[in-house]
Amino acid sequence: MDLKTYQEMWHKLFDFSSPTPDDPALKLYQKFVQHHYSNILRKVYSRIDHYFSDFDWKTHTALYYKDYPPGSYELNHLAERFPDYLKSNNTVPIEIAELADYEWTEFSVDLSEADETAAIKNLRHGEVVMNPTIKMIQQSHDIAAWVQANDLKEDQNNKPTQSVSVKNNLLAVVRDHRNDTVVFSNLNAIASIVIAAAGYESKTKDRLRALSLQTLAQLNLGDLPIDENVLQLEFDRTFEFLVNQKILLEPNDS
Amino acid sequence: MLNHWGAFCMNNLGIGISLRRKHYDEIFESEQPFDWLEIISENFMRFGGHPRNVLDKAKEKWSIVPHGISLAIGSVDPLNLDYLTKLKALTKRINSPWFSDHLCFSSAFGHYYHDLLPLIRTKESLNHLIPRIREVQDRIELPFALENISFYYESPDSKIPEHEFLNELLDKTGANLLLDVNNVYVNSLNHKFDPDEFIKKLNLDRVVQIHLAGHDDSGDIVIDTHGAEVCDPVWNLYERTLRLLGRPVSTLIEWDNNVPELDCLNAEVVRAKSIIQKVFK
Repeated sequence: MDLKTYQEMWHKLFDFSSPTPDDPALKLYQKFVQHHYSNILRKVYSRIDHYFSDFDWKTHTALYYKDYPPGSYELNHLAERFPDYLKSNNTVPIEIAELADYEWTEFSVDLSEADETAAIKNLRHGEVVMNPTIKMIQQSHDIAAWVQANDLKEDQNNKPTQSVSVKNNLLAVVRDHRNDTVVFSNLNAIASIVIAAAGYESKTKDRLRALSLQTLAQLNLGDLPIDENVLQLEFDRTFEFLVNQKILLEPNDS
Repeated sequence: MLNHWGAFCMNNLGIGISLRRKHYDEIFESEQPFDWLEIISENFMRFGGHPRNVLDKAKEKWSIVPHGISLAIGSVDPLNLDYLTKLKALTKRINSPWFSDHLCFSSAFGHYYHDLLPLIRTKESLNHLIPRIREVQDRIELPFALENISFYYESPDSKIPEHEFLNELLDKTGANLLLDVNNVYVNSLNHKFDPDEFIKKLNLDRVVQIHLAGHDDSGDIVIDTHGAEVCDPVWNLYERTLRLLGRPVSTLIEWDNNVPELDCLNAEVVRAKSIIQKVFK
């Protein structure tokens, strides 16, 4: 047998639709590899595993790897597209797909390669810069509040709930590098405009205010205050919120 | 034929342990009996945050050797250049004395299996492996150690004995050997051979590192689990291997599954040190 034919034999073995081989050693390898593939999904998406006990992991694991073959040399990254798979599968409730999105975002922000220390290294007094680990997710259910409530219930040994309230929300997700925690923040319209104005270049608060108010003035956002003093006040509140949530970093954030 | 990466990595680092998330904070809390750390390369190649901070702190205190599982040196696929670029960056970040991976294929046809699959030991495989090993060494610019794997399946088409296959690769590429004593023992039980005879036939001058680990001997096939203490027959084989080597060699206690408390790992470190002391007193 040549090398290519030999490796083709193994390759076919690991497809979830492949039959169980008679050879006990090959059977063992098939079990190991398929276990790695399914186990990493259950590990990264541990809240789906924990809160939705009737979730059909066997079927979804097989279908997922058919759509998104295991092409990453890093095991955790095999799980990266699982939220996309769930969203595209109309048998899966949307809140489960959004929970998966939440969990992957939490995981990837926590371990992001972005370097906050480098981002704030050359900041001058009065300047801020966007947290380089930031990811934004748009959801139709209030997954963040639901996760928080269920985690709290777990801590108090209470039974978690599967019902998630419907609520459109935009979340900014960043790592707080001082204590290695992942911070989820609900953004209102003004906060999202300030974030867009911030970009990834450092700016003074005054410059960011000017850019944000300029954008606000150009938009007709219905229920937003239009009085300039009120807008200034809203900006100041939002700025403080974004700094507190570590979405905007200051020089003393080291 | 030796290449220019072969001769530099024979320093004895002492007895090391694998750096595991469970012990990230604890290893810095007090003086530890272990002398160096091994990391799973892939766990640190694409990640920042806490693991990277721990790594940066650890490198100030210990030598760190990256040990890969996804290089797939025997795969029919081309070498993954993105992987090699990131591995090189990692070795530079932690100033590694060498790096290691397994003599196996862990990916093929674009799929990663995240397991160590045995190669078919033929002349064709040797001709495939030799230029790939050379290329990896040249790209990473560090000495490379290949590990003998435990394997449960033996292809009837594998014509070359494992020790000959390994020696030929080491000879033709200048790579070093990461001798996993537990793997030799597990294979000797599953494939019915004498582990001491196997080790004697290896080119022991090229052993740069030894792995010790636990296995599961409760079923029809002995499984290399890395999830238990090193058993007495493996400790004894380790001692006999050291006597054959005639020199202490950097040794690592591998424990990847059901990772125990640090005290338990440290007890294994102390036992390895006592064996070294006994053999080389």
